Amino acid sequence: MLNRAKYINEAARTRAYNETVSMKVFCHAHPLSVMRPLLIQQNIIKATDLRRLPSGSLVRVIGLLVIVHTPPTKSGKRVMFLTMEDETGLIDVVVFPKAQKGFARTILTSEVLAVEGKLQKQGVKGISISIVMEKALTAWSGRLDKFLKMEVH
Amino acid sequence: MNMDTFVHLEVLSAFSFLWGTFTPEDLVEAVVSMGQKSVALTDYGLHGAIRFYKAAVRSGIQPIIGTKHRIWDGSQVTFLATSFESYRNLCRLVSITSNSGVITKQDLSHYSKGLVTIAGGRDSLICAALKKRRFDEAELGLLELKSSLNNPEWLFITIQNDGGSDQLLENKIDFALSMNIQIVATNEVTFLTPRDYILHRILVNIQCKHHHRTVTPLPNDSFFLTSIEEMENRINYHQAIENTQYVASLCKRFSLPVGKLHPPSIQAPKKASEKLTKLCFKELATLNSPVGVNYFRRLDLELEAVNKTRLADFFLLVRNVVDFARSGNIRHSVRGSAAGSLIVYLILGGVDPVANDLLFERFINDGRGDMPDIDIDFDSERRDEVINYVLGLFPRQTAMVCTIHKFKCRSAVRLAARAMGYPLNEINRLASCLPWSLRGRDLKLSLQELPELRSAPIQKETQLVDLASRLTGLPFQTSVHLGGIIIAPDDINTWSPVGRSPKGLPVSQLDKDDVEALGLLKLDILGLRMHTAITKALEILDEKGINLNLDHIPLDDKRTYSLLCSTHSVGVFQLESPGQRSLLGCLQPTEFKDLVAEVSLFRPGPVEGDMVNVYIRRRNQEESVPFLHGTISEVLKETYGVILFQEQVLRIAHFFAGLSYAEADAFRRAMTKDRKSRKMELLKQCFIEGAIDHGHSKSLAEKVFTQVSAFASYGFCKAHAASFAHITYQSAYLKAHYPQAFYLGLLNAGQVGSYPHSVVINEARRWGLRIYPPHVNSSDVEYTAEGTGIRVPLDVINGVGPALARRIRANRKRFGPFQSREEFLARIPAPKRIEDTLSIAGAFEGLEYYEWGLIQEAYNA
Repeated sequence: MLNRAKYINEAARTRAYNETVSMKVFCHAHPLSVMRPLLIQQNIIKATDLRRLPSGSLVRVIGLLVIVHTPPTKSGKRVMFLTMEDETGLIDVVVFPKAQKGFARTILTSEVLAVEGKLQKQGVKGISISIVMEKALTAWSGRLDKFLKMEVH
Repeated sequence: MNMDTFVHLEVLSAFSFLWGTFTPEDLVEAVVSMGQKSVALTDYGLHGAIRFYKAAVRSGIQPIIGTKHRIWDGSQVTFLATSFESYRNLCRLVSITSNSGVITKQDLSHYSKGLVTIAGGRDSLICAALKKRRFDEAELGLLELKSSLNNPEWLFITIQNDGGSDQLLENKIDFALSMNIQIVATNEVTFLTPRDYILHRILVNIQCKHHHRTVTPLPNDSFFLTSIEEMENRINYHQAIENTQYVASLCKRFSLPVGKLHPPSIQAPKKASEKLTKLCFKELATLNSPVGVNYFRRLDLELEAVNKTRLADFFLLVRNVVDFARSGNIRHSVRGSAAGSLIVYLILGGVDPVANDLLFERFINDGRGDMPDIDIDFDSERRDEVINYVLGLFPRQTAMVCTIHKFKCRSAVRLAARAMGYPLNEINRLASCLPWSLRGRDLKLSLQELPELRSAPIQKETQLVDLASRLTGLPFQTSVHLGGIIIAPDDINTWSPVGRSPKGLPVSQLDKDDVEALGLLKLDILGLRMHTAITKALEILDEKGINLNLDHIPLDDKRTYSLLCSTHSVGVFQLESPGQRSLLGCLQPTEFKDLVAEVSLFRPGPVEGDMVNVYIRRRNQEESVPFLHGTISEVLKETYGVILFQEQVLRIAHFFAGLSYAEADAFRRAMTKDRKSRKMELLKQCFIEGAIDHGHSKSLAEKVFTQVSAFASYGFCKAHAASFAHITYQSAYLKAHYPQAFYLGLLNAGQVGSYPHSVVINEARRWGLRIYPPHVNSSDVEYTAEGTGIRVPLDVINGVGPALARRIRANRKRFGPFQSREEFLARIPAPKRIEDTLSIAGAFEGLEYYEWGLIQEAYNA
């Protein structure tokens, strides 16, 4: 198998790591952008790529977890609305109780979250985009500093 | 046995913070279930008094309001109000206790008129003396107290039997009889059932361990809401039990003026109304564009309604406050139903209610029992200036509204665990597994239902979970409401006790609901961070020579709508949440009224009522608007047949069923708040009869009623939505035209909206702005413009607070740029940890090269 991980810019990765452990913001680049070559190998796509795919597609995305919102629902069941962010934009993810069963803990304890789910597009232009999560990719989720230190083979 | 021969006269609820274990509402419910007819609430303050009064009156129980105080000799004494006038004295006494801790003889001689006094309780000099059979000492204490009272004939000695010695009880009775003082039996109710004694102990332990106070809990579980039989068994002196009924009869005249308006009177009503009229017409004449006759008609109508309700003074007062804000360039806007008034538009600014078809009657109508609110949002950073101004206008009549904080799941677990003696690291371990999203959910239910908690360590701590669940929802502490100011008609101390906040502001013991119940005027001086962000953005533009007046920009700017249609709305007021971004994509707004709809649609009501999808489909012509009756069709035309605004409900009830706007508003409120009430039934009848009188068939009337009542509770106030939409448009306009200033404004205004600074920075980078990292030679204490990019301040670095950032800047300004890392450390001594973090963050970057450059320069020279 072709090892494409070598395309990761190690200097950029060190810089992203340093920013992660020393600051509240990222000044040089979004930390996920430096890991993108590795993510491409896992078929994890960018937020902007979602606009090109048809509704119903099964997609994998990754992002820094920004907001977990659990508004009250009529039925009383908890629905989680996640806002994640990669280097190209925000990604909105909906997590229904079925998916929460196995992954709620991962969601609530991760800084970086990778998910697989169905793409849902709404509106005449199809630019209202969300992903209905089916599973979390636990190997790619967790603390950001650990994610940036991930060993590349 | 007559069940109402005993009345509990000493009752301490959870509003005696961290002492009592039940709410006033729970107390009333328990008293009703025990068949008792009256009960007192005698907390250490009056925080729970109004809700107790309302709950008791609602349940047909006679409420007796009192308070417990410490007096000059260290004894605790209970006072009960016999009338509203004596309630005002009670307020004064609580104010004195809040500020100085004890009540002096002089205080009592001034403010005890009309109060029943109960002395000689557990924690009193009399009781302590009688325990030791020192009758002279007890007599002296009693005579001192009696001589200070305005109504000494209403002084009672209390006897309690909490399992202590019978001898003390006998001594007390003998003493009281010898002194010719009447005796009452009390039980100092602190919990409703003996089972809650443990909760009381936990609360007291929280006081000791969390607040480091020295407090002793009650000695046993006998201080509960006892029945008459229990009291008869405990107290072998029947007269003391009967006397409780006598005391209750003394308090029979007491009532609170709930449901009546008590506005402050600043000037004569006629004078105020003339002044307001003159002011409005002057403002109308100076509007930017000429107005039609409809404005004059509407203004006449509004002025008539305002003058009828004698509220002209109130409008002038708000104008005065806004004038102060304008004079200091403090950005502000009106929110809520008040934005639907032309008077408000003319004297305070905002959106034009005539052009935007906003309804005045949603704001003021004859049927409103409470004071209308004019809520104003000010620039958050400068709100305190406005608050101080208002407090200074009427120093005797004003105080801040208080806020009651209750135990929430996480805090209940942490505090209960601490009170139970869990070590700190164990408490952290147990509480850390509880997600923040648990907010508002029942702890026990969450532990059963939430998958992430299934294996949480707290699952094994059953007693802790049980106690924390029982604590959840009880009042924990009070704080100052962010911006609510009460303006009383006379001395504020006679309407509510007033204490002082740590900042020195006067704070009442009334929360916002209590203020509304008492019909007092409340000014909401709210803070809006978006105003701060816009102000800062405009300042940056001003520095660049761009003088932008956002209040006069055209509301049809294509670039602004194009930005919103793209859904890239991070940072735009009200439209940045995932739901709103998604809605923007579907709705594709092209004019201001779309923004008003957008702000109103993404609310729990319309979402739950599935009105959002219907609205979008109809607007995008994917679904036709169903046939509606002529009148209704006209009212709902702007929202494609969907009832989106509360004003639409009022209009349907008014035009279709002929109800007055006051009745229509009552109809709307009934449907929003209490749909099963008898009032609702009467309103339904009224609606249908009115519709028939207007020539509609009964079946149509019933059909319309069903439709309206199904959606009425989901509606949003259009005036409020329009007011917010205006700020939305302004922020979007800034983002579309001046992104650098917009992002700098957002970043320098603290946390604005939903997203942290890291997301705003990333968004700015995606927008094409260059982000420069923090640097000791370039960064300020705020985000600054650098070329067309943004320079990040030093305090984003972990461990570097604003104080250190300011020191670095000041030093740099005084002694010039730092030329090496060593020089920096010599000029700004910082701990190694900070030095390392600055280095990792790249804040010294280039200094080595700079230094090397200097060396080379020197060498070459």
